[in-house]
Amino acid sequence: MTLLKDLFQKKTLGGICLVILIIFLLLAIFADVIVPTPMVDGSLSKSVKDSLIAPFTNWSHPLGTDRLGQDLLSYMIYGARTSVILCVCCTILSTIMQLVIGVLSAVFGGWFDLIVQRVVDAVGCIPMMLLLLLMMSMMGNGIPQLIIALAVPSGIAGSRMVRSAAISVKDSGYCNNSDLLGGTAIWKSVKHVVPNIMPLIIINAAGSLGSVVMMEASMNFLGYGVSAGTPSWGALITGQGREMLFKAPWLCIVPGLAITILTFSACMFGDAIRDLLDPRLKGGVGSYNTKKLDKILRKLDASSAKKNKPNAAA
Amino acid sequence: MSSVIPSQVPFNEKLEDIMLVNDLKMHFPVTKGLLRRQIGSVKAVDGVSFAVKRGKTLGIVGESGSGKSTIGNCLLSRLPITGGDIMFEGVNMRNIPAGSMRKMRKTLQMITQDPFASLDPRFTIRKCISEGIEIHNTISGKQAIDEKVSEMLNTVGLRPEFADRFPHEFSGGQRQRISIARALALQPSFIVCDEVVSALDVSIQAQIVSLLMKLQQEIGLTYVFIGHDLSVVRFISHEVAVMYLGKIMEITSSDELYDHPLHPYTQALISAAPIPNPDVDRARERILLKGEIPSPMNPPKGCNFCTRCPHADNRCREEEPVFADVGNHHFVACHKVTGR
Amino acid sequence: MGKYVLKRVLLLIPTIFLVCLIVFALMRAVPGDAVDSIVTRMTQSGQTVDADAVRHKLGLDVPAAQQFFNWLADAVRGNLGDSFFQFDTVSNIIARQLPVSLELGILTLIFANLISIPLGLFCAAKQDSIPDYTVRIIAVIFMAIPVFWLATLVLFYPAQWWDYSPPVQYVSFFEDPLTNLQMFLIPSILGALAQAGMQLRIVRTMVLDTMRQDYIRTAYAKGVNQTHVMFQHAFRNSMIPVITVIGFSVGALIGGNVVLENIFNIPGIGQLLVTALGQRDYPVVQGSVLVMSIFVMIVNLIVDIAYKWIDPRIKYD
Repeated sequence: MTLLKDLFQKKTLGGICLVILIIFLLLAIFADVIVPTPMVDGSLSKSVKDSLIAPFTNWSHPLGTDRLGQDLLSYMIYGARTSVILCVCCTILSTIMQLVIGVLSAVFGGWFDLIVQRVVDAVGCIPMMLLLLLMMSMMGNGIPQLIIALAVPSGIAGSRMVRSAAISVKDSGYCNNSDLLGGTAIWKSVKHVVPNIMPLIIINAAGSLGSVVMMEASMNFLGYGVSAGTPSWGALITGQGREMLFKAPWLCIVPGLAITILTFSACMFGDAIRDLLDPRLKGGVGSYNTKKLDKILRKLDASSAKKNKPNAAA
Repeated sequence: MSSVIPSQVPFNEKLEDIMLVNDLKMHFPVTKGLLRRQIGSVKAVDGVSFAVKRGKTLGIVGESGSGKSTIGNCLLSRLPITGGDIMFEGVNMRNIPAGSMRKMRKTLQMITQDPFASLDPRFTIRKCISEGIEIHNTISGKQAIDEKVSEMLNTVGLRPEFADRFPHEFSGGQRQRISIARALALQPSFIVCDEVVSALDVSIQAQIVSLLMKLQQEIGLTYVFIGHDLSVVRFISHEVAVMYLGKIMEITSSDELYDHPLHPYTQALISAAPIPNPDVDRARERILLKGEIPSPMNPPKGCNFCTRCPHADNRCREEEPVFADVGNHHFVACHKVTGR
Repeated sequence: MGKYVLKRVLLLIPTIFLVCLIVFALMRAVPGDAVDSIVTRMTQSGQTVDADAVRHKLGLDVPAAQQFFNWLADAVRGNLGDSFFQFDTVSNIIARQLPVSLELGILTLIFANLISIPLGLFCAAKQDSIPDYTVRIIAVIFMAIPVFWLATLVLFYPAQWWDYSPPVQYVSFFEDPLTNLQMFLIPSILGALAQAGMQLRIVRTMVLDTMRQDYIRTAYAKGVNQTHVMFQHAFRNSMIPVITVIGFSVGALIGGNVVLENIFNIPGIGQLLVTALGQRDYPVVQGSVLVMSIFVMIVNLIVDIAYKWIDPRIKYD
């Protein structure tokens, strides 16, 4: 795909970040195989005597161990799986919700639009954290609940942007023509509106990948989040990380770094995708850049010098 | 059918009329205030009657704002009509429910002005043309649909290999051909051409108009051709109606209209159109219209044209002229011409 | 203009109603009840208590729909009820704790804008140069760092190395400004970092967009130097969308940064909500959400109106 080629050529940082994301994805998928210390009965520890080993001191525990002797590297890999599952599922669910609500609201208009937009406004006004906490309290802790809690409010609130994009598309010539040909409103939405707002959807989705991990970690911090025993980076920070900060700082620093790297890669990748798909930012006509201008001026000087030489000789 | 008053509808020799329009009115409400109270209406189309003969072309000319495009949309039930009737093949279009209307779209098609906006930039040409077929399921099977697409492309003069390209790879004229192919794919019998050549170069205009005429001869299509370029409309139409501010001023066969224009507005329009022969063009007298176009929200009490007409008198300003036949099925709405 | 404002204000009413409804419904759907914990607490302190009497006193024995409308009727008249656990009216509690969050939010906003706007302009001026890339990457890094992680480290290591820790007891700004600011300094900077990272990119994008316009090219063609162009022409025109972004972020910031309030022991409204949620203190939750939502909506409305008023090209809908 030319998009991928552009990604690696023009926006190398974005390409690198995509590679990092894919590494995380592979870690998540093949966690059971890669992990040095597989999970046995919900615990990663081979023996309690191994507790609190510092990183880089022991070959069998490259990143150290925690208070219970669980290998940190293994825990991080399993935690990667949790984070990746959450990222992927939440983004997909949220995007689908935004599409359905936004496009239908735009295409049908009228009372339907008015009412739906009021609900969207209301959900957008309630503080996000509170909504998340309420939903988690309601449903209990756990990964499926977390997916729903993270995806549904952002799906509803994000539909506003989708709706405005859909409105700008739904009255264009080809949509009118689709009606003229006898197509229903659903046909028009699915075949014409959605494909033409796809760049915006992709940009949004790529941009929101990063925030899922952060929200999950914050939720764990407050005590809501994954159920106890599920490996999670956020849970590690808020649990043993904080407690053992003096004796075993690596238990706090390593998961924090991991969250940072994952979120950073997701953001940069999203940025790169947006830059590639959004023609406005490409720096075409009218973009002012001294370096480019100097290059152009130099080229002009060179070509006029060449032209002048034969004339001068003549 | 019984709501049509024959004397109001000018039609010739009782040929089969595929469409009869009687006293069509399209008023757009103008609202003001929080509760959207209606304070007036834009009378885009204000009592228009005509007949369209099967296999022939009716041309509608007028300046911008005269209501021609609105008529096009009304004929295809794209707008909710405020008054009057439209009879297609004897059926009153006003009472057709939405589901049946969608099916009727196979027979009634429209080609619009903007060749760049009317094709989905993400659809291949094949998908563009076969969209109608897929909606109505008129042809089943991928092979059969592909054959139909190639046939349509051939018909409009494009190579079948173009089917897998995208609209942005084509010029304006070629895109209009694609739009025509898309409309034809459903095998309609009635097509409204809404300023289809207005956005094209003159040479391309000739090609498209010739294509349309050829198709009419081969397939027997009926056109309503809406435009503002008099020479183009004359070329393609059998009958021409001249519109001004929502009403028809004059309607007759195209040769008669251009050789003997009777209404002052028609005369002014024709005098403004350039003639290829420069000597003749320089020598003739141009009629310049003075005055302002009235607002369509507030048309004059009498004749719509009285504010700019060089011959207007008090009767014109007070009394609306009757649309009457002055002989040879040449209908004019003017006191000075018809005396009525 | 006046009609537009009126229309928007009228549209707020169904939205506020929906907010109350959603929060009420969700809260009632959460399993567990304040009654049980009150009964347990009172029995433990040796008092005999009748669970039904407690339930009746809290008003929880009537059907839920009626509870909702009773509460709504009172709220419209300004009475937000009494807390189940704290011996105070909800209005007083909110009046005590909301300004704290507001202060944190305002300080965060100030720092975020102080950082992001000049840096954003700088990045736009030096587009695609090395400083530009560096600043942008740092901005994303700050967006990516988990706030509570950084806060934990920031609290811990200075205490370890330099024996420094910010004040832990809240004092009002008016009582003791120095201690107050000391307490708020670190959390607001931390909060500002993530916000600044995001805003910097937006400022940069908006300024670049404005710079692409034809009138900017004309200015350069006339020979105006870059600084002059940026500040006379580009800055003002690109600030319009930036102001809207800032405006809408005010709403989010006022929501009370729960995590920061938790770590730095700031008695703000975020803390209040989390605690009340855990205790199932219905009136507090409902009252606080109502107040916060109205606040956010009014701020959004003001920003919208200001935006349309400043930019003469916008038509009123």
